[in-house]
Amino acid sequence: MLRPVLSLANICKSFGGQPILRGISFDVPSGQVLAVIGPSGGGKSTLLRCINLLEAPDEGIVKLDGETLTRDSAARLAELRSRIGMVFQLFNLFPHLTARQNVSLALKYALKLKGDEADARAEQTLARVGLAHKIDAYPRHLSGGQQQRVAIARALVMRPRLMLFDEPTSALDAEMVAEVLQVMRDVVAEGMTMVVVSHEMRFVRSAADRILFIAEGEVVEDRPAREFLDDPVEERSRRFVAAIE
Amino acid sequence: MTSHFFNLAVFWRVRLLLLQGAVGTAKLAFVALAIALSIGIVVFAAQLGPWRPLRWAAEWFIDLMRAFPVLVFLVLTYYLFLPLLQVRIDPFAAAAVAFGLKHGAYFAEIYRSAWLAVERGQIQAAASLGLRSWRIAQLVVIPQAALVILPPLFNQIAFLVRDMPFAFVIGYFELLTSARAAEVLVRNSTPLVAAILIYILALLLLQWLGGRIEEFSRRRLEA
Repeated sequence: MLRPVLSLANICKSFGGQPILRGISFDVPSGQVLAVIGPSGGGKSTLLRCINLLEAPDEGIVKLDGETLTRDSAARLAELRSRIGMVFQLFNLFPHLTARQNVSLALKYALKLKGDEADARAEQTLARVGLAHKIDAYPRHLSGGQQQRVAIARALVMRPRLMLFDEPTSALDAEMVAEVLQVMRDVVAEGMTMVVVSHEMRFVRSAADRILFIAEGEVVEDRPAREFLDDPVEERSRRFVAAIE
Repeated sequence: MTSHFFNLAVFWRVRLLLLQGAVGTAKLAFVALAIALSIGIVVFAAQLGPWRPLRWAAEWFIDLMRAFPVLVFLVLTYYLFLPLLQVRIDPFAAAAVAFGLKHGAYFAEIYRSAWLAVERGQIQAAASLGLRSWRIAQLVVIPQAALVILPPLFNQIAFLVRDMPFAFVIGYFELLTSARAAEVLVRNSTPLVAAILIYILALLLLQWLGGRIEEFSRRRLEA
């Protein structure tokens, strides 16, 4: 069997004595789109942030392409993080930088690309998300949907092995959700390995290969997406699917 | 009547003495400011760092400095702390160190509040891109914190300048000392009034500058 791109073993995390994740394990093979769903407060975002160690798990091991992520070496952690793209709920674009500068920043200062090479790659990637005409705009002059597309370009430009999406459309007005989901579908079509936390069930239904249903810090179900959505086994997932669809 | 406290002829006689005092004040303000800004950075870095005893020491230092009235701290530094440490320095250096420590604590707090004003999501986004912490500071945090920090920073500089006359009590020759000396010399209160006016003018100028800076940074933040 091929080595998975991402491998999590027994991830545990508590905040102030309150367990948020209680021993979560799963592998994501190359090219798979894994959707993480479940009731809010169930630990989905924390799980995602444990993958690139924005949140340090109390226990457990995260591996990217077989390499363990640890905080022991800042240089190695940074290098591994540069191979994991992350898209945030609130975009988190750098407000003092233009779209192009946002996208090229890590190319220049993490991957050490030359200035013009980084700029060229940033422009290409912004064109890919349909924002060729906005390369010199500052985030505050972009709509929410455009900002999130810049954020996706910022992650994509690094040519990551894996992309993490943390509720990428839940802070958007309804009319902007579609443009962001379309960009995400394009990324799926290119064969990107993805872990997506989302409440967009239409997107999950159409784009996800597999669903991880998480509640109270535990994996309740881990099954192919269609199968899960059409026939959730557990009572908790049954109720959840019924409620959101 | 005005001839005793607002006498231009008297003022003209003591002008060089007062100038000498004003230069002494300015010199002390600059050196004290440089020390305070640097101590602020060190204390802020200690607070931010991963080493817990250093964090405690920084917090303890800030609380202590805030508790001391500046005059008391200045006198104690010169007559007690430095002699206890076997350090023999002149009033200028002692005043610079005392003001530097006292105001350094406030600058540390100002740096910290600016650092906290930058959203955590910014740092997380930069970290998730594989940027190292010093790069995150340089490229993401400092450019955003700089605009927020300018008004309180400038405000604190004005406070520091306002404290300068206290150096008089340990015998440093600054504007107030020179005015008192001139007063005795000419047996007239004009030098003192002149010194006060110079202080007020300098502080008004600083206040005006501070207002401009605040306006500038607000406009940049809203643009």
